[in-house]
Amino acid sequence: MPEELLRVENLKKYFNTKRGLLHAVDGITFSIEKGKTLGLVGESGCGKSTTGRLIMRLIEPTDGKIIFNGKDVIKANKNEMHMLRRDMQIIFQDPFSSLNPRKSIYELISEPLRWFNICKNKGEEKERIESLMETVGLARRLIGSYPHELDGGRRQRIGVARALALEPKFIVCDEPVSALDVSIQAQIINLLEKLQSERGITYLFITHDLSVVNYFSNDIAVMYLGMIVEKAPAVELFENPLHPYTKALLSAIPSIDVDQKRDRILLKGEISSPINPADQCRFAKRCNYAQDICLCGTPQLREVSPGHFLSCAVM
Amino acid sequence: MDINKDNVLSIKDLVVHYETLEGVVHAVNGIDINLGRKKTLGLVGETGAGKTTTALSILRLVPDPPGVIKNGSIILDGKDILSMSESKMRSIRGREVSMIFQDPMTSLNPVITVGEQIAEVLRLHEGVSNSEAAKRAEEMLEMVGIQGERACEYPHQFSGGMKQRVVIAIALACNPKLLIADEPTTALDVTIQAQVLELMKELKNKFDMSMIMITHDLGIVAETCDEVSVIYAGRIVEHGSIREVFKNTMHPYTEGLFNSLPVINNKQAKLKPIPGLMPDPIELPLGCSFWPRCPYAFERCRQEQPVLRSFDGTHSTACHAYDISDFKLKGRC
Repeated sequence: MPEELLRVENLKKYFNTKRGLLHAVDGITFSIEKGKTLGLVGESGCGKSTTGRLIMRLIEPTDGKIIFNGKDVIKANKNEMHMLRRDMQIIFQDPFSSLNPRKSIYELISEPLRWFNICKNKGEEKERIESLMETVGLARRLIGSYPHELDGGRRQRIGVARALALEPKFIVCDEPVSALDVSIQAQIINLLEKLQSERGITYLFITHDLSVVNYFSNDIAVMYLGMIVEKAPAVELFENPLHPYTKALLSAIPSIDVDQKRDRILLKGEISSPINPADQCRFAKRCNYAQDICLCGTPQLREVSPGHFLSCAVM
Repeated sequence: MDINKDNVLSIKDLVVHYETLEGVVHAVNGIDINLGRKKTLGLVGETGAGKTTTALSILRLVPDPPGVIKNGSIILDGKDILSMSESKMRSIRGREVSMIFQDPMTSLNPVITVGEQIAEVLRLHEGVSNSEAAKRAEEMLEMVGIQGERACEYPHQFSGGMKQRVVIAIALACNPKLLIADEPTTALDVTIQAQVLELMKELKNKFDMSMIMITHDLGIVAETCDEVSVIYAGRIVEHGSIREVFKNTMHPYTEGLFNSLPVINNKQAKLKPIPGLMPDPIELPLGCSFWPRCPYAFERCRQEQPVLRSFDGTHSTACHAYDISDFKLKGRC
């Protein structure tokens, strides 16, 4: 029986805004097994980054449960949370704004180490930092450099080194390669993949890029307006997408195959407002298959074949 | 290359430098472009390759200082752009050639209604009356899929995709011969990107325009362009029809770009990133700019700058390796 590392149950986050209650994350449930990667895909505003931050408890959820390694993250007190963060880390999207510009690489990587008193003395600390830099592929001579002296790829490597410093079991990767050029993107993805196979790290990989997520993930969950609309093993999702939104999303990826002429599914309109959503399928307005039934109640995620979950009243 | 009358745009040996305090940035180092009528050319390359600088040169919008067009000629529809007076140039921008910028959030004026921003172009270039311009602005909005009555709204009332539609309406208002689109969908979500690209294709055919599509996304090139030029460190390293470049890749850098992309229907294919980084354009290496990252480089590549040579048909590449008999790229393993 594969061991479950993270379980999220009916997680909700609502924000109070002037115009009403914004349902950023609206009751999502999933779990990730040890050493595996779950890809969380969706477009801007679907709640995928909020989900990542909720799991890290960087923001407090409105409702729901987050069980990490058997412990309830939401019920953890300050001390327990401190200890939990050793095991769960996050890599942010933008390596330009997520690093303190006034700290050198040495200081940036030493921060988590000092926070947990990992190293006994300066010598050990330096050794540890140098070995982390080597792991993520940063040249040792850069140890005194500041973020502004480095390109995006190298900055993102610092972000990875910081996340790795405490040897976590689990890392939330929030669009870790979106700000990078393709050739550099591939370098970082290969690095994350290598770390997983060597150290058995579990990832939640948040992205809008379906080709990256397919390459990287074991399972994929597709989000739309705060809810998971489909979840399946990566291969299954790409070969046999069931939700109309997943289908449209897959067909919208520009393909480099010049022989393949595909029928593109063009969606009508744009994502609707997450403020006070009506009790109906949130995708119905843009959906090419929508029927009357879609407007009566929010469809629930159900298992349609082993491991393949779908929330659609029509399909 | 002779200047073909059928070409909308002919650029020859364009060299653009940025003269900064830290040194001379060699942004564009001898680029040739020939673009036929109703054709779409893709310019592909990574950040800092010189794609945008090339595009800005066509509009003579390279920020000066520090930018200097050092050499070359740009002929747009028979007119020599580089020798034109500034006032003449202003009458060409927006009428004969338009540009769509990457970020629709910053390319619109936030305190002017979208209708007025379209009407402005029409009044300026076609001298139509206020009411006529306003009417045509509404028609343009309808054409890009926005209700005409929204002409009186401000940019912040529109979503990202809708703003980019407004930008397209402004660019096309005077029916230009050439449209330059600089990463027009990079800031947009993939389903919205699909909508906007579809709209651009449709309008390009409707208006009989030529188009230059600047992008880092090879998928977008494959779906929207007829030809493609791959740019590295300010030079074109490979040029050809889409089929030639995608099916029979010749330059090691182009191959590296393809190998860096995950293949959707083959998870087993490993990513093979290009090692290292693009060289600093202030200190370009001697010889071929790509040799420090190139798996095929040999001694001659470090000494001598390869020139773009044509192989079969319209396919050309700048690589010394093809002087070795039977040389072939390894492809993805």
